[in-house]
Amino acid sequence: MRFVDLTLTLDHDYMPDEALPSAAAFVVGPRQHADKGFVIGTETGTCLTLPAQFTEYRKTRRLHEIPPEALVLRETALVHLPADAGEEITAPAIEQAFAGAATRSGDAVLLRTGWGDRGLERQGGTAYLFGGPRLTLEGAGALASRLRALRTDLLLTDLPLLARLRAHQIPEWQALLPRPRPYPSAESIVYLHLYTPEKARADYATARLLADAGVMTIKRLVNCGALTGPRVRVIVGPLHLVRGVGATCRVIAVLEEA
Amino acid sequence: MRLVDLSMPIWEGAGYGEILAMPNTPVRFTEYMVYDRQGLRMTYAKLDDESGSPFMTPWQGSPHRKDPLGPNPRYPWKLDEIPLERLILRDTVVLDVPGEDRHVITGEEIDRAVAAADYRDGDEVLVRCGWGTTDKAYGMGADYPLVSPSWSYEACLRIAEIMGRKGSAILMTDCALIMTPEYQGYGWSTGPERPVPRPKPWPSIEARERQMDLPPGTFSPAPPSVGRGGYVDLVVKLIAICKCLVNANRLTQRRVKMIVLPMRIRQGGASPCRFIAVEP
Repeated sequence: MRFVDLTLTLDHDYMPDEALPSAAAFVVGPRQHADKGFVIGTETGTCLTLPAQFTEYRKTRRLHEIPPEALVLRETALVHLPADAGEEITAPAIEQAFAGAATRSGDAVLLRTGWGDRGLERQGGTAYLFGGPRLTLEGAGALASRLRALRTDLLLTDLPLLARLRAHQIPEWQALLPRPRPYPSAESIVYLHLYTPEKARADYATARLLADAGVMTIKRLVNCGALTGPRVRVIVGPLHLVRGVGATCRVIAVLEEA
Repeated sequence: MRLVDLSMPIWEGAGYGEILAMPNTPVRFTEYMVYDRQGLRMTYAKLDDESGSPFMTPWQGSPHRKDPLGPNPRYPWKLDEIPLERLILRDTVVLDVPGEDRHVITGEEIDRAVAAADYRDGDEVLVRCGWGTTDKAYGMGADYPLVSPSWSYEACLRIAEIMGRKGSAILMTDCALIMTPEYQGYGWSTGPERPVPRPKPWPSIEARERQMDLPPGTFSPAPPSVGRGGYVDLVVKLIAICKCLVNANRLTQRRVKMIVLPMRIRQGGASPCRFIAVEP
């Protein structure tokens, strides 16, 4: 048996998601600081997100209600979909990748593009977060349909984002120079004050399709290149937040080897 | 295979973050994107490195603190350096030390529990009072860690000696605190000179004043009659101490495999953690 850590390291000096106004700054506070401990956001680092993140599904299960069987030693099918920087992942690409995968009903699915194997998440700047492959709306729809058909409730991926955020957040925030800090900066607070449900619906359309399918998602996996076989078991440990809709999590792959 | 979640939940007002001036500070959530405004929810969480069921190495305070809590720690690893083989599916012995409200575990009780257990070399250790449950934690509020069983100085030294001899490196317990609340909370939550009403923990001005008044390098102003804290003596012998686990009373086996999942923080010294027991 061998274990592989698929978790992006939380770094008090730099976190790649902090280039977004909807992200929260990750802080490790020293003992004598007012923020002793941590300040962390719903989507810091490798993170689990529940459908309950969206208003329509707020009555569905929360983090503290997830039974351990849903996250621990979970049988998982690997779906290999190699994708380059900036590549748009389309519906045909999703169909082709699933056609080559050894999926079983009820499996979790790990969609591996290779983006999390390049080490870009440690290099600063926005190359990791904004430069990666991304789901098109049709691609997300095809993925949601496949997951529904598999009767799965868990998708893991090395994609840095599942929401495209390209209608508003990315272009509007990137236009600000110098780029402001994420929440709780004054600029982020003002930006989010003016961020309407219509804007959010456009930005989060792809992620919402997965929520519509009742799927919990985990994004920003790293080291998936170590998973060469068709199947693996995963262990997912999110922060145990009462009534939380998402949290940073630890993700470990368990490989059965002779 | 049966899975049992032994992780204390994290919520605003959780007792473990309310009863000490330092080091366990309160949990706070700020909702900065909300259902009724943006159509989705994002939360900004202020946690302590001891929130929930924490995993606490001798390097607690790192990356900001250079030195370990005590001299010559046996294991050099910070959170992102611990080999996964030391955390995942670890053979673990359950040592039963039944304890009611305010019980303080003694060295003799540790010896009796070890004698009664199937404790094998290399095992990790779960010392179970059977007291801590999520229902109690939700219901008792700030009283939970004050009423919970805890550890005497002698019990800390005894388990350190035994675990060293057996090659064990992770100590888990369903006690809310290691050092007794009488010692650690003296002059804050316990003792005749405690302020009433109890102030909020760090960074309140009262907590800052208490820190100013404490002798350097000490946890507590408690007089010798209250006893000593054995935490530092114990933690330097281990990879980590893990306290405030819950629902260990649901385990049906005396040996389990533990999955231990601290946060992967670069050069971090302690963090909230998930603990899942796997029963065959």
